[in-house]
Amino acid sequence: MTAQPAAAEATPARARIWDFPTRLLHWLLVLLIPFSWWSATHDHLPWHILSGLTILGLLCFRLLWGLFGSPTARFSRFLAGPRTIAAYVGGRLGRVVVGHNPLGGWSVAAMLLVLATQVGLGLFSVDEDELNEGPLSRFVDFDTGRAIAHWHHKVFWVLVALIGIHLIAILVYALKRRNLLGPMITGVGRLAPGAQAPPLAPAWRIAAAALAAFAITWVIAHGLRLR
Amino acid sequence: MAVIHRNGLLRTLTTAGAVLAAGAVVAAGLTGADALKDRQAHMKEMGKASKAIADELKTGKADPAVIKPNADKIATNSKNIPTWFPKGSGPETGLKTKALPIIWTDPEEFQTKAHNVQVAAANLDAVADTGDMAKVGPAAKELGQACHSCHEKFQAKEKDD
Ligand code: HEC
Ligand code: HEM
Repeated sequence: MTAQPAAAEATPARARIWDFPTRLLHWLLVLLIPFSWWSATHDHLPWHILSGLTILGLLCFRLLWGLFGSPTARFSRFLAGPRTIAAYVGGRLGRVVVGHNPLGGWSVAAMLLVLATQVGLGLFSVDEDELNEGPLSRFVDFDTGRAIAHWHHKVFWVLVALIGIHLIAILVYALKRRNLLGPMITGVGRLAPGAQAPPLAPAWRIAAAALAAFAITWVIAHGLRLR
Repeated sequence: MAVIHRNGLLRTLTTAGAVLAAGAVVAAGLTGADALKDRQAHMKEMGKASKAIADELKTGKADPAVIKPNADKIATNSKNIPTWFPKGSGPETGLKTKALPIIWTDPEEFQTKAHNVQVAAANLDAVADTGDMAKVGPAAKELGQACHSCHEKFQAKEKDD
């Protein structure tokens, strides 16, 4: 670490901000979302469905992790009310933030929500020639399944727009000399002065959430048939 | 099946059938727009029947009473595919259609694809009639692939609908 003799305070402390599961999940989504798009538009629907179901599993895990995970991954911690957001935007927030800031938290929630919608629509999508279809398509009739497939095509672009905003925000922070990319890779980032390093969830909880997510996904992938 | 594809006579007959049918469409006073709407309805009917079969197979204990009439419907319908695309029933109608102009500029291949579906549908129908539900799955998959093979080449990708 480089010394900054001119700085008023000591070298900022560094701590693990994002735990391992949160980072792994993030980078898997970065790989799988473009792959889902590519495989769907290049006539590889079986791969597309496999990729989509993997994303479903990741989303289930994320939901559980948002409830029971490490503090910086929890919804209750990063979903702020309108007053907190206003205070943050106006630079009047009376506390330091570790993890998502009040605005970024909602950006993450919006991306997860739209991604969940996209996956949910995919599960019920019906293909014209009945060669490939979502595992839950038997619960809808042909016309409904086709309509759902149309929405599945449209919502994808909402997801792309949100990801675009997400990338622009990261770029803007980089220009303001805040590195958001590094911590999402290594987990370690700079702590604002006075901030406490957040605790990490224990490994058993990672295993429990992963197991539960896998079980839910398995049941859905088999069309809700327990056989 | 491959033997049948290469049968030039059969293809000529199918093509001739299509030309005759196109004439019949005109003779019956059907406009291109009517033909377009009719074929979209017929295609959808085949899609619905295919889904009924796919859904039934997914139950793990498919009921021949559900499979048979649907297989029959596709087999009967698919025989007429060549007649569903008379000249003048494409984008020039000004109606919403995913039928690509190459249907009319590459009729040979189009007819081959239509013929392949006809064969696959007849096969599925025959397999369903034996009542051996274990063989219906693979036959239905083959039919789906045959439908897809035509859509892949002759149907516009969904962009704005
Ligand atoms: C020879 C080529 C060809 C074959 C074979 C074929 N289709 Fe089509 N299908 C088309 C074309 C072209 C369209 C677009 C028609 C239009 O929009 O005017 C279409 C449209 C459709 C549609 C959409 C109808 C609508 O407008 O709602 C369905 C569903 C469909 N096909 C199902 C099937 C099924 C199931 C099979 C196999 C049993 C099949 N098709 C075989 C060429 C084919
Ligand atoms: C985030 C995850 C997903 C993304 C980004 C995504 C994206 C897409 C896109 C862009 C298309 C349109 C392709 C085209 O224009 O031709 C598509 C089609 C399709 N997707 Fe997904 N998808 C996802 C998840 C799923 C899931 C979970 C399933 C089901 C298990 C699924 C099933 C389908 C099917 C069946 C189609 C074809 C529908 C049709 O033929 O019209 N997708 N997907």
